[in-house]
Amino acid sequence: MQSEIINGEFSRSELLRREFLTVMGASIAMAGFACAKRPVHKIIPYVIRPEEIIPGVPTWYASTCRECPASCGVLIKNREGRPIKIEGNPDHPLSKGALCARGQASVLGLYDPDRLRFPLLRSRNEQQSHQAAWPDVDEKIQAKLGEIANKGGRLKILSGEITSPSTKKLIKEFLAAFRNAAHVEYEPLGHDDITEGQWLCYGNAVLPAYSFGTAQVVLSLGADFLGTWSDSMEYASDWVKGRKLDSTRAASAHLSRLICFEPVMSVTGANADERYPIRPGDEIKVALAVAYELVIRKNHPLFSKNEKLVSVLKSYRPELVADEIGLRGGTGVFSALAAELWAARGKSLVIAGGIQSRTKDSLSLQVAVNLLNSVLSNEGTVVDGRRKYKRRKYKTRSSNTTSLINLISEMKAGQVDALIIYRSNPAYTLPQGVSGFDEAVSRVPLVIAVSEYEDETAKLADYVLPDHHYLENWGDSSQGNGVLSLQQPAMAPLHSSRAFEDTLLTWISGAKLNDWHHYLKANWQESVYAGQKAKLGADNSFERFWENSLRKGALTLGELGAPQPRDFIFDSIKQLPHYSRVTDGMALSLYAKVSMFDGRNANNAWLQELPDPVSSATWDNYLNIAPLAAEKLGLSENDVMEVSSGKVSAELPIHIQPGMHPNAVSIAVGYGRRAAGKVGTLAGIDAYQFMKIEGGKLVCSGQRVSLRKTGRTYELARTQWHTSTENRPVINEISFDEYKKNPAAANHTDPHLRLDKIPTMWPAVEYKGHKWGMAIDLNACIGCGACAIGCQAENNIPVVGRQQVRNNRHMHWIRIDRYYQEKSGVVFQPMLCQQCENAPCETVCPVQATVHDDEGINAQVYNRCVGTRYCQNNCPYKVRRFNFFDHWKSYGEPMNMVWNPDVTVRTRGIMEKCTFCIQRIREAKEKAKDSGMKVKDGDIKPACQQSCPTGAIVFGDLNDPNSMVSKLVSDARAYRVLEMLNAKPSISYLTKVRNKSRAGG
Amino acid sequence: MMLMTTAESLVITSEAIAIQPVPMLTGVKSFGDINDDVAKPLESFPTWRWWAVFSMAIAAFVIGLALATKMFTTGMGVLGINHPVGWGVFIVNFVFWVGIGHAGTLISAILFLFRQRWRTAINRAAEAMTIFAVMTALIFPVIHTGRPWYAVFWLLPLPNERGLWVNFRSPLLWDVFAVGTYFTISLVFWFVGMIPDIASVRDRAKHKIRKFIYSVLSLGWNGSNKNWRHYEAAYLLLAGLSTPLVLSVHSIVSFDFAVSNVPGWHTTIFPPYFVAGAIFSGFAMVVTLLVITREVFNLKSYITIGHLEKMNKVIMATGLMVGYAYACEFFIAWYSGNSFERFTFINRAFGPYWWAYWTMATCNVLIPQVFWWKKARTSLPVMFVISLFVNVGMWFERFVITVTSLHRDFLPSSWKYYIPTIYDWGITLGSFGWFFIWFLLFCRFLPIMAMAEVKGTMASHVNTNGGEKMAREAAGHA
Repeated sequence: MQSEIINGEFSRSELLRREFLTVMGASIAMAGFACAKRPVHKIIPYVIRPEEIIPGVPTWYASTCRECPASCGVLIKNREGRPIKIEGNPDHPLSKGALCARGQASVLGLYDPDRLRFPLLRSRNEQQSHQAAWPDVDEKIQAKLGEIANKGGRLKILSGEITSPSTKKLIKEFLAAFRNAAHVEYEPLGHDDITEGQWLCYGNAVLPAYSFGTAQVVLSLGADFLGTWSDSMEYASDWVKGRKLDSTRAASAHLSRLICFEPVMSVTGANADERYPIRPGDEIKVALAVAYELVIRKNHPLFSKNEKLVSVLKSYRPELVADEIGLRGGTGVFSALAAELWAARGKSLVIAGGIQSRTKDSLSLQVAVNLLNSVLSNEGTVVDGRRKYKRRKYKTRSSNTTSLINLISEMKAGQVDALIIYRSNPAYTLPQGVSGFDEAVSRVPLVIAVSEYEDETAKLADYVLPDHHYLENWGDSSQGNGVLSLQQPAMAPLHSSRAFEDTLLTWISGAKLNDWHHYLKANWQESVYAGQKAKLGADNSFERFWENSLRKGALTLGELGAPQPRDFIFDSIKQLPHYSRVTDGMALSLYAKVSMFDGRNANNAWLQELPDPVSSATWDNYLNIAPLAAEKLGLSENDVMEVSSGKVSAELPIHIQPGMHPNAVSIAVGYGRRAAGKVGTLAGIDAYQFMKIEGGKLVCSGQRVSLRKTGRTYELARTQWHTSTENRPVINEISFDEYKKNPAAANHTDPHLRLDKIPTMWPAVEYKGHKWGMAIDLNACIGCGACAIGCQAENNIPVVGRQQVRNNRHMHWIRIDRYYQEKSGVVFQPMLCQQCENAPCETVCPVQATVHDDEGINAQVYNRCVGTRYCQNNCPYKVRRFNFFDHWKSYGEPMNMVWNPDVTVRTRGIMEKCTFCIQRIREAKEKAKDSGMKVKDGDIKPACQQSCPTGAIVFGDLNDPNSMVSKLVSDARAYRVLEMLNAKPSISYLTKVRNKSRAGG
Repeated sequence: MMLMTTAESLVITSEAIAIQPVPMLTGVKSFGDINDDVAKPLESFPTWRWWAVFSMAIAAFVIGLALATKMFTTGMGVLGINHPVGWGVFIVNFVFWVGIGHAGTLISAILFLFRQRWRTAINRAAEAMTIFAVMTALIFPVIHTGRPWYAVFWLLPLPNERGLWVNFRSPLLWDVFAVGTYFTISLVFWFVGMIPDIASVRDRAKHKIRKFIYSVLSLGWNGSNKNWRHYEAAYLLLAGLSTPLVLSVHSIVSFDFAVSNVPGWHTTIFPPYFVAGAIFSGFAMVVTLLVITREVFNLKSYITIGHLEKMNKVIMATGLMVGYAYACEFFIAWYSGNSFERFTFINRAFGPYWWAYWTMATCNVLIPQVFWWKKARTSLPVMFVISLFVNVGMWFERFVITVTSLHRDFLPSSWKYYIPTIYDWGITLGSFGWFFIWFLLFCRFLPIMAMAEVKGTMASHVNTNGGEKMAREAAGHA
């Protein structure tokens, strides 16, 4: 370039030295411009850096998850002022660090571009909304509320279940200004059948605490306690304690038993030792058949004396029930089950619940379950129903369907003057038309909706006020067993939203404190601090107490002592119906998926793309139907059927689901939303419309449906098509009896493909420092999928959408493979990069983009990868993921704020895979180096291990003989997947052991 | 030093042991006629037929280019590949085109060393086919990568300041060297062999620019004894160098599969099996091209039925080898007792891709058996149709190998069907367009037949009384 200028411009004139230098300088500068390829991005450092923030170092805040009423404790990882990862709080006394997939995914909801950003004024007639300002809205509403209060008008607040005592107190204060004011709480997946049953049988309307950890035998009648039922994370981490085995003590080991009778294949049923498919509505028959065995056959000393009970139970002869349901194993099942439960009385548990069993008999079912628990003396041991014990308040699940139905009729009758709806979406979650909700709301003169989205219910309101996301808000939560947790914001609000509590404080005329934070603090000072002061140390000031509580996240109010069994109220027996045989038609169950729950997260793309643990489907719901039924009707997978129940009908594709009763079908709720946002709207069909309201009660399942072929097909976006291991050395599963004799027994694999010692020509590579490895316990993995979402959040894994998932291009680095084993049942296997020592992928990459590091990790060098995909072909585990498109672009603003700055965001054309969270390994090693200490076992937890509620995944240093992972890998149950290929994977799996024996322990 | 053998070849018919010579040069041709027949088409404006085919080739190429552009700008996702099938139609095309190229080198180099003089009528066109086939093949390893703009540099061991080397253990790297070498050597061999003929064209050239271009291309050839001696020596050397490439290049390409651990790929039979298959499909492509070329360019006297029959015999032989390899694979899969291998082969024949497998078996094993009959071997329509079937069958063989092995390998949870999209097919069409553009340009600008070599080997059949030209002129005068 220089010569061009020199030759071109100056070739004829004499070039003076000075001119030459000028030209040289100019041309060098201009060369710089011509060579600039990429635009320059500027990073702006803090001008005045907040003291506690060091760029690059995360800060952690304890809080409480608000994605469902379980309210698990969480820790929020904050980088440069924004939350990027949610993890379970290990110091929380109940959830103990467990967090489900929805909790993990909640951080994405914070940055959802479809969130409401400012208040809206809605015109109900024109169905339009426009932006308004807070002062404006407050003025208008306060004026109207003042009018209503003065007239003695009726104001109702309808909300989801509120577990926060401070919020409840504030609501009470707000409602005090009105006569005939009421607060109705409603959860679509609420437990009012349980609380009502508890009231009838024991006199207090609670959701009891269940000690899954002490139960040796659990009989679940449809309750998905490992998946979506109640505090599933707490239950899972408790239940799994009875499933972990130490092979050095195999002969004297104990393994709990889980027996499930359910109308849908749920995560819980998949983990059962024994499982029976039934129709919705059969649960009570099973319960009472077992009760027949226990009370009548075994002549129970107390319960057989009650004539009414005996006369009801006499009709439930086990042979009749077994025949009606078509139980595999016949009548013998009930006698064996009864014997087993009786042998474990006081240490067993019978539970039922969830919308799949919520038929018109759901209250009777709960009475039957309570009866069984009392008969078995589980009440007061495994079932703890204390409500008030020494001034400690216990969690009462306050969702009440009856109150909601009454509210609707009041509204319809014009008896409500103002309705405030907070975090509730009955316009979607109630069956349209049948419930009359929409019509009822239209009769209310003033309707205010407070929510994060302009959802289906908000579209019925006059004012839509944006609520904070829980990560932006203060709060508290009252847990069972005397635990109180706190919620604190980890970020200043992104948009112009306002906490509901702040809104109420603004509207309460004469409010002394109109700041929710201060109100909360004041409430704690008044009601909690006083009782705890005595226990505090030297500095027992409230400020110190408050700060410590916030830091820990949760507080145990005091010692509980042993629970006392409550007396069974025999009057409740009149709830139990006499046996009547029902054999007609196809019965429908509605159920909730671990990813979608009740549909509130439909706009969360991570959850939409999380494959259902059982069906492996994403993005849609479908009609589950048994293979036998499908064959009889001549159906194949993906056929679109019209399902009709009365006047309600919908068209959706079928999924042939093994383990379903031939006369039962099921559909998941949470789909078919009409106003969820760009991601969730119109994914799947609305199953809530199949609910009925009978006798003032909501009936979710058990309706008779008719099916009609439409002739069309709809391809479900499933991530796994083949469901058998084909006898390959992938899953090792043995029965408990076999385990006790020989923990290293490995059946279910082709004996030709098992090599005890694999010959090798080369010396093994020596790892002088750390050698990272992992152990995954198949007995502990329940298939919940929290690991997949945790990994997605940690490693900036993109979402690809339904069409791409159809072509198997989803990007999850860890996936849960699910196999149906003919003899035993369902097995889940987390599959991620095995970090093989003889990695087949490393030899074949032509540009050396995948190499082995000196600590045993197979490293993928993103910027070197040219995308030949040879490594993917050569990987026998198929854990490598190729970026077929620039999926990262779908993270438009502000969603890109969720990215973890420690992990590269990959463009298209690049291969990626699990790295054992090498950024966390790095972080821990650097911290150790800075403090002059060594990395300890447990310091490094990859995202998957961190998210796992049951501790199925254990990572650590194989070179440290005392590490947890070394102990697990040397357990007799440990094996490697496809070991005979000699790839030498660094991940060992522990053989799944199912307890098939009937002996009660 | 000219190699002298008889210009006749021997054929044994099924009726008698009597030996009948098959003429390798028919008609009354003089040396001058040979020049005219080959060089005349280069000197006149191409016919409407050439333009028709050329515009079709351009259209095909443009379609491929447009689709490829979309692929480069949005991502590999427009194709059908997925997890687990990371290699699809593009790699099938790569192996297909590289395989085709081997026939040309076999004709040019191996038949030369075996002193098969009949090769001289076909070797120029066959070698040109090789060059263009390899050029077409080389497109695919580049565009099938996720980031081809880096792949073209980073797959070559270019010196750099960061001390980064390529991975010499990877078969894809071996491909770079093997196919790169193959292209280079073939190009040099082809070009050097063409020098005397280009000189002939130069000598006939009337137009100044034409003469200039052909002069440059002929490197100053003056037909002296010294020139010819150097030419012969170089030709022999290059033939010697090219010969092992026929066997090695496709063996290396087969290592892309054989060196991996995928059941159905990981087998030692691949190198000879692929080489046999390459020659099989290559000869079929040569037959397809020559049947048309000899018709269009009026070279029937030179590229005789005899030549085509010989090529059909090679097709037969290699087809039988390929059929044997299929049987061998099945036998070894069973004999090995390895349940992954057994499953893979049963899956090939009876799994979701059974249609591809049976297409392959029918086209490659069954249909060429027709060539046992001489009538079929010497019938133009029959051999043309069969050569097309063979190429379809060979394309499907690579498809079966690549796709069926990948779509169901070790872990059943990752099994998935692969369906190529319109982009896969469109870019494949584009590759055919690219190939035919080059081949048609070759036909237009360079001598299709090795004039000098034909004159040399067919000397005894050449008419020394002026040949056809004189006969025509005489008839014209009379």
